[in-house]
Parts: sequence; C-alpha cells; structure tokens
Amino acid sequence: MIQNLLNGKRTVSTLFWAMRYGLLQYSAILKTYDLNSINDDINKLISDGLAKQVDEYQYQLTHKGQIKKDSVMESFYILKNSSYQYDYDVNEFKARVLLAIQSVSEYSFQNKNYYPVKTDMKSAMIVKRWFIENKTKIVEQLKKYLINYLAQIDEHQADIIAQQMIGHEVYGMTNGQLADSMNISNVEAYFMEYDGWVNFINYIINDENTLLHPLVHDIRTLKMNNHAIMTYQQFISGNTLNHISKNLGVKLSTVREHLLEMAIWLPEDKFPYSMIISQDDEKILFESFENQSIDDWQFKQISEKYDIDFFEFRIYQILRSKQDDKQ
Amino acid sequence: MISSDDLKRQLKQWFGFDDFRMGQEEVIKSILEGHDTLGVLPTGTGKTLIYQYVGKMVDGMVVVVSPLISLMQDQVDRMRYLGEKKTVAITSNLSWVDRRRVIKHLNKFKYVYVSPEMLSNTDVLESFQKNNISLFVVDEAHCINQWGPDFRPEYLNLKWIINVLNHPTTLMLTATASNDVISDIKEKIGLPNVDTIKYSTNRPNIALSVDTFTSNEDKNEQLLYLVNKLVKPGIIYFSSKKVANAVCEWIKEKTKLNVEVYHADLDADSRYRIQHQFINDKIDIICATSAFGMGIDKDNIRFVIHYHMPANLESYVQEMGRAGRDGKQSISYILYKEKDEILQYRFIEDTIPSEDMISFFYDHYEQMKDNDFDEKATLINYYLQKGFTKSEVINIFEGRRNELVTSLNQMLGYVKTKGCKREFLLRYFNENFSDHDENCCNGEDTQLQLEKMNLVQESRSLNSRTQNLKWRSIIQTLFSK
Repeated sequence: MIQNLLNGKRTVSTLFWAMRYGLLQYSAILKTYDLNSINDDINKLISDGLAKQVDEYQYQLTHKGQIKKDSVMESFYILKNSSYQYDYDVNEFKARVLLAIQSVSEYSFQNKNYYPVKTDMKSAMIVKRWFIENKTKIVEQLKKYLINYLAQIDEHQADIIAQQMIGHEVYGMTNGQLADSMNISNVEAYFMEYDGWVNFINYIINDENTLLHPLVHDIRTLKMNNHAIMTYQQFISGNTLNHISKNLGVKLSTVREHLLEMAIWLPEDKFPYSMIISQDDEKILFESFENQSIDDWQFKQISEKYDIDFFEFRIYQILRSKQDDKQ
Repeated sequence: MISSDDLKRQLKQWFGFDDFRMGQEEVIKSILEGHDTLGVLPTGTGKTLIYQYVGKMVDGMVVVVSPLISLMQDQVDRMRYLGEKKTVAITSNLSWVDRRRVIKHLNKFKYVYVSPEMLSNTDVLESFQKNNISLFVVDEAHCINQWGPDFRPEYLNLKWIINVLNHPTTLMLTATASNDVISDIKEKIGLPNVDTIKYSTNRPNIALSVDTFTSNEDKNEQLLYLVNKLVKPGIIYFSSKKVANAVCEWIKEKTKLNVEVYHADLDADSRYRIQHQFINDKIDIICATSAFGMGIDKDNIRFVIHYHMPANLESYVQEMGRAGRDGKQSISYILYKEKDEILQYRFIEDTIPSEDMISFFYDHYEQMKDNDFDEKATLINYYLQKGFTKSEVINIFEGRRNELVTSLNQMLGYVKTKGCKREFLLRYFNENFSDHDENCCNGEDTQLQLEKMNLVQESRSLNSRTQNLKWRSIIQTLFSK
C-alpha cells in the first residue's frame, strides 16, 4: 500500500489506508524514484537483525532496529514540501527548466550543435516557443532571473539547484553524484532536490516577473482527479447517485469511488456526509463500533443485521477518522 | 553510375572527411544502384554515415528498423546533433499523444527510426505505406538470428513488412556475422538478390587478453590493478546490474577514480548526464551492462574489460569493439573465474520457456488469455497466434536453446584456448589469421607488454572527482558574456 501511495497509484483503498496512517500528503512523491531495490533492502534489514517479518505483508522493527531508526532519523533529511492540495510534476518541470537553461546557455555561446536535455515532445515545444518569444534579451533576462531567485533562498539549497543545471559544456550532477558529494543517501539527495524544485515552482507561479510562467502552467495540479470533482459537484447540487451515473456516463460503482475519494481529500465540513448517511444509520454505526479502533472495524459486523451497504460504512469510517483527527 | 570522385567530393562537402572508411563507399554505391545490400562491416566503421549519406542523395524517406529501443533515442539525438533535424523515433517509449502526432506528420521527417514491434502496428504501417520510402535499413541485422533479452519475434515479420511497403531498396547492417548467420539473415529477410559486402571483423588495434582466476578475490584484485594501471577512459561490462553497482561502489572506495554505473535502472536524467560526462572525459570508467554504448559515439576508449564473459562471440565483438575507434592501440580483457559460465547457462534457462511451460500455456490458454503475460508467455503467445502447434513450438524453443548453448560453448572455447585468441575469434567468423605477434593477444604464451603499447596511465585520473561548486560560479559559467 505504501509503495503504491508513493508511486502515485491512487485506488480508493490505497488512499483510505494512507489517510488512516496519516500519510496522505506523501502521495506520489516517489513517482519517478526507483523502488526496485526495496525487497533487497528489507532483506538486508532482516539479516542485520534490525527488522523481522510478521507475515507476507508486514515487517516490524526489532528493538535494535528501533534504536537505529531513531538515530538515523535525527539527521535524516525528510521531505519538507509535502502537500495535501497539489501534485507537482517535478520531473517534467526539471527537464523543462533545464532545457530552457541549456538552450539559453548554448545560445549565449552561439552554439547550435548540442544534445538537448531529454524531455517529452510537449515540453520541448513549450520551451522552444518560450525561447523564440523571448529571444531578443533572453540571456540577460534568464541569468538575472536565476540570480534573483537563488540569492534569496537558503545558500545550500541554491547550490543544490545550481549543481543540477545543464548548459554549454556543463552537465551537472546526477542524483547519485550529488549524494556522494554531500555524503548522504540517494533518497535524502532526492528529497533535497525535490524540495528545491517545488520551492522554485511556487516561486515562479507567485512571481510578478512572468518570464518563466509558460514553463509551469500545467506543472502544479490538484491531487483530486477531475472526474471525481465533477461527480462531487453533481452530488452537492442535489443529484442522486443514479442520476450522476447517467449524466456522466459512468458506472454506479465509479460514482461511489469518486465520492469516497473526495471525502478522503476534503476537510470534514466540505463533504456532505449527511446526504449519504441518515441519522438513524449513523446511530446504528456509532453503537456497533463504539469501543473499537477504526482500523479494526469489519463490515461484516453489521452487514447481516442492518440494511447498510459497504459504501455507507466506508463513508462513515472516513467521517470518524476526520473527527478523531480533530480531537 | 556515380564515380568515386563524385562520391568523395560530396563526402567532403557534407561530412568534412577526405576519405571513406572501410566498406562505406562500396555499400553506398550498391544501394544507389538499387541493390538490396547486406553490409558486414567491422565495429567502428561508421555505419550511420552510410544511410545518412544515401538519405542526402535520394528524395524519399530513410526508415531504420533497430531492435534496441533504449538506444534508438540516442541515435536520433546523434542524427539531430549531426544536423539532421528531421529525424524521429517511433517506439513504445513515446506517449500515445506523441505517437499520434508523429504518425500524422510522418511526411515531415527524413529519417525515421522504428522498433520492429511498432512497425507491426497497423496504424504505423499504414502511415509508412502512404510515404515514399527510398531506403529501408535493418540495423543490427544479426539480431534476426540472435536470441536474447532483446530478441523480438517481430523481426521475423520483416519479410512481410518489406513486401507491404512495396519493397524499397533494403540495407541490412551488422558488424558480426559468420557465414551461417549471413545465410540465415538472407533466408529470413526473404529477398531474392542480395549483394553481400563483407569485411574482416578483425580490429587489429585492440589487443586481446583473457585472464583466468580461481576465486573472486583474485579476480577483483586484478580488476583493481588494471583500472589503476590502464590508460583511461574505459568500460567494464557486467552481466548483472547488481554486480555492476557493487563493483562500481567498490572501485570508488578503493581508488580516486571517477566511476559511474550505466544501465537500464538509471532514470533519463542520470543517463543523459553520465553519457555526456563520459563523452567529455569527465568520467574515467563506466560500469555497464551490455545495453550501454551502442548509441554513443566515443572514439578514445582505451580499454574494455568483461567482468563476466559475454554470452556469445558476436556480443563480445560488439562490446569490445567500443574500444579504439580512433585507431589507436587499445585492449580488451575478459576476467574469467572458473565456472563463470554457469551464470550464462542460467540466463539461457531464464530466457527460454521450458517444455512444461509451453504445454501449460497451450492447455490453459482460454483461462489465461486475459491476464498480463510476462516475457516468456508473450513469446509463446506470439507463436500460438501465428498458428504454430504445441509440439512445433516445443521444437522451436528446444532448437533455440541448443543454438544458445552452442554459442556459449564457442565463447568458452575462446576463453579457454591456449592458442592465438585472434585466430580463434576470426575462424568463428570464417576468416583466416596467422599473424600472431607480441601485440596480438595473450594466447600462445605471449605476455602483453602494456608499457610498450602505451597503455599505462601516467596520471591517476582524467579528472579529480566532481567538486561542490557554489551557485554563483555555476551561473557565471553557464552564460557567456
């Protein structure tokens, strides 16, 4: 589940458990990070006596492992820019801004023959258009823009961002080289880079100087998927689930999944829980699970006795999670 | 017919070279005369120049089918770098949107690289049919015959595809083909009259050495000795990404050299940087798996070390042929620990579906057909869809397994021979060689003299390890005033 979450696979079940574990804001942050070696790493932890396997899906830190974890955590760099609200396509932005810098750098050396940074065609087109539109004073402008930005952030972070830049006879550092040079792990270097780029994206979006605006317009997107937002809007304006299903041409089960997803992402007061769970049902649900931790609730405890479906049960579970969080 | 003088004049004008390299002119002439041609030219001959040259002489499009998707984009980048901006690759790496866009505007491109499986798609093929194709190139043509992780059954479709495209002039290119492979390529491509132009596989400026060990410790010690001693830059090839990573870390720890891994697990960003750092001599040594390097053009590589022996002599010649493209003295090492071949035998077992698996697939196809297939199941499915019976498929794969084992045994023969290595290698490609000398190989009890061959490194490293630069100085270097 956690791996799916970090990779950005957003099934309702993944999102639900991420909410329960308080990990929602980390969704999709490792979308492009290579997690292939994770099993090897787990085996290494076990052979070092730091963790043990509980069952097929669960591992637990040993006492020794817990101590080790605490000591690592003290100095370990954890991502600072996690957001409940937005996804940042950091990789695309990075490729785009590096291509922009590279093309201007090569242009400043009057060199036309070089290997451009790899991007998809859309990004290449965006940069090309941006370059042509700004061509006359672009070297001065971009240089000034970068200096302005880097001068007002943390010196160390500025170095990290600059060390990745690509240009005329400059190929920058890979994630691994960056990590080696700072004597930290690749994941930490990745987090530092990631934070640096997200800060830069937010700076560009909020900056009055619009020079780099064309490069970011589709880079920051809402976490909630568009279809789910549409379903939600139809629902709060009074449509029944069946109506929504017909209006949007999607299956009833999809409508339910959309609403669950929205309930997970939205704060409690933004989601109309009472339109799904009647007061009577809420009372039944409350009493049935009164002294149980939310993670242990089983649908079958109520499914045979009452006329409450799984969708209502899950929605109530989400509602209670939100209420618990506030306490 | 065009005269050699005319061809050379154009060569100077377009590429800035005074002379063709071995075989280039002959192949270009054959194509321009409209002959389907099979060019067997040694590694480092500049095969790209051949179709780039022809592309400038003809009106229509040049289509290049290449089996190695991961390298195709490198080739496109290189063509663009060489000034051929109207170049594109159609592979499964393209997003759906990008692919639609390229197919729709196919006529805007002069050079189109395409993977065999993309060419088997109806929409792609139809789009090619609408265009005027002047030259159809099958790159790495030995892959028609070779079986490996990169093998694509779609290569067997090429005969049909060439027909559907109205039989444009076809050029097959490879660096490594024995007479058997040549006849196999011709049979599978199914063209009636193919001109074969074959040059020697021999690379006289690459000395050949095979060192044998009884333990991994000894092997590693020798590796460490070599990477310190030999002139850089160099490549070390591995059969496994895991070992490549581990040895790379170990060399970093033990030396002051700049060493990086390069293999399929790298993200696009790191791949780009490492490739260009290497091309620009910022990296001393690359630890690579065999996919590396086929797309890049670097002519001053002084050594290629095989930490694991390759699966066959064709791969070996391809990989060690990365060295010495500038014609200067270079060297190839195979570090062989006894029983290393077990790894290769295991690869064969892992690549080829077993009889049990084939039977199971055929017997349970109905239940399984909606599942995602793994690599082996995809292969079996390919034959099933083509109407092969169960026993035919079992026979095909049994045959393949035997071929692979035979190739591996040839490789092992090369490793173990006490005689002249070069003679053994060239005999495999149906050539004679009897000029063994002190710079040839370490067979015949010859001790290779690295000093005499100028293969000993004076200073320790091409570059000291990357320094942490301050952002202000980086920005100043990036933009010229």
